[in-house]
Amino acid sequence: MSAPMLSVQQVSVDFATEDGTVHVLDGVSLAVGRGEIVGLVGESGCGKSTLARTILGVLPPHISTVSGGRVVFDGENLLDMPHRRLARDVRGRRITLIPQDPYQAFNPLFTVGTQIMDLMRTKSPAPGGLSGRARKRFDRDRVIQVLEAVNIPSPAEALKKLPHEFSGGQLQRLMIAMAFLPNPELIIADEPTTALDVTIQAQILRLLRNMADREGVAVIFTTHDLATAYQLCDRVVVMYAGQEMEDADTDSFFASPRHPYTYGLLGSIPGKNAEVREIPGEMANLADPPSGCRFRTRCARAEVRCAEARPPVTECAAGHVVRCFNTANEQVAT
Amino acid sequence: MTDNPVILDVAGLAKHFTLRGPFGRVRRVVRAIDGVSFQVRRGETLGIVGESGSGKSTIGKCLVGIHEPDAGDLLFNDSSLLGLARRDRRRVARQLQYVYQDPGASLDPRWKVGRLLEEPLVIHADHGAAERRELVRAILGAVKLPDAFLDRYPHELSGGQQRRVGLARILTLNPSLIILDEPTSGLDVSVQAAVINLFKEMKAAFDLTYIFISHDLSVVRILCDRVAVMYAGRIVEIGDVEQVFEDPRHPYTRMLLNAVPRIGRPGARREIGGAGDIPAGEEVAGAGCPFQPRCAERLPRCAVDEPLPENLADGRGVACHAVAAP
Repeated sequence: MSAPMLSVQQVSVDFATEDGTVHVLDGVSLAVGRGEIVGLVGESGCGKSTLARTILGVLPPHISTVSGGRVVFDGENLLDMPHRRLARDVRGRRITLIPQDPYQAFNPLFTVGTQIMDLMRTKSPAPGGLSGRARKRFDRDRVIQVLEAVNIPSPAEALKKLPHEFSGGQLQRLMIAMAFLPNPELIIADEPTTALDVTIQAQILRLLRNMADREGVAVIFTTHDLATAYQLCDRVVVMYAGQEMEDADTDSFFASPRHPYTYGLLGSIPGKNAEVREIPGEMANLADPPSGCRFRTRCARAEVRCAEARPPVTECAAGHVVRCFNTANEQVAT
Repeated sequence: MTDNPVILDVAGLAKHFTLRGPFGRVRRVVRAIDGVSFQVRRGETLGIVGESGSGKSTIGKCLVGIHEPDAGDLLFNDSSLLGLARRDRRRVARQLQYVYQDPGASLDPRWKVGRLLEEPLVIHADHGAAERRELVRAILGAVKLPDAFLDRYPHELSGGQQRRVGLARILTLNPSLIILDEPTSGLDVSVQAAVINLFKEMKAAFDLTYIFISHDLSVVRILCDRVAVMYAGRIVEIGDVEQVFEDPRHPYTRMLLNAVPRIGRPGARREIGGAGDIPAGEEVAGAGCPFQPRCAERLPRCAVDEPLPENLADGRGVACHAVAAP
């Protein structure tokens, strides 16, 4: 892989809460190459949405602080970029978002067409010299073309409808179309299929894959489902309690997972065989995380040193990193 | 298990909802469930799966009396659940319990665990106070929580412990059939695994029968003995879990199973969804098979003639002309 398009380097984010400072992200690093789909996998509360918000520069104001690290996008640190420039040039234009809940993302009072054309006017690059009606006609043609690509039946009619006239799957496809319309370089998809039925989910995943392959857009796909990540993604990054625990290309990740938390996740997926194993204990308290390794309180292989020092992030095979002392881990039945 | 007595017999159940416009004008009748029949034997777990809107929750709600069905009959232990007087219905309700998505969330935050567990006994049973306390202690032990928890408030418990208390509350009445409505949806896999194992433990310990309503096929597979696949308010395929998952016969079942993401063997080619593109669902027309607009194997008669469930040689039921035709 050439120089990554986006590289998140040692990013830490703190939230001020009633219970004190919560370290929601603690030295997270990851890289996304051009046209690559990276799966960000973790359970609720692991920080995957916070990471997405950090990249987009939309962390909740007043209570959150970025306490360290860099988010380098195309050679520039987004964390240093002036807010106005970030809003005008990057967010919604070069980096777009597919939100989890399409029902909340649309304004119920305006037609879908109005909302999409607004987006075109403010965020989509206009070809030189076009303005007024010509610009509008050009935008409309492109919108219809993209709606066709995401399998919206009779797009011209669809634009005149209000959001409630669509099903959840259709609205999600409209959101995907809107994420692609500004010709972004990176799309952040925040659990876009969690609320959907499996048949619709399969459609949407296939659509994302095709669009990414065709338009060369990179995607960060957050999910709590390893099986979905397996099908869709080129790389998988597993997060736990605000840290990436394992990061590898998909084949290497599933062929030889190294982190005990990853084994736990894999073991708890219902498969053909009747047993599912739970991961003992509860998610670490981020206001007062365990010393050393954040996962050690739930880890079957924790040793004394896991409590004494923070495990290093080690490259155990080419492009396969793991945050654990014991990098020679082999998956064994526990 | 096939020799066990039938505990629940659902025959031709139908529930229609009428959508009204201004001035009470009927705009549309939604046939949420339409002619659903199945049996549940004591000790088995029947899964009901389908996409959202397929009517699976409506069945559960008809069973516990939240909805009054428009047609058909419900026989529970050989006596009908329909048309009962309120008092009789309440007596039956002890035996037949409904668990919402998160049983832990239904705990009153101002009540201690002891009182929460005692409440169903106060309402439904006529035990003395001492006897009730004894029963509560026993049930708490059965869900593997220590006696000290009796004096705790729900917020002092972890999510998993709350869920155990929620379930214990239902078990105090010693029900025989429990309807679990989407109990694992929205959970992380590791929590989901804990919930699945809890249901399994409770079933073995209390000799329960479950109806497990879910859209998650992989969970149904490991938890259920039999499965009913629903589409547009009808059961399109019903049979043993192994049969249906290993060799699905109805085109809809096949489509559904193909869409479940699975982790393959190392080195296997990764692809999404197996099947080709799935055509968008259209409004169900009056006549014919409801699945016919999305079906790859439709025959000319599918558009005019609705297929009825037929039993195949291996004992499962399938409602499909393409399967029935030899």
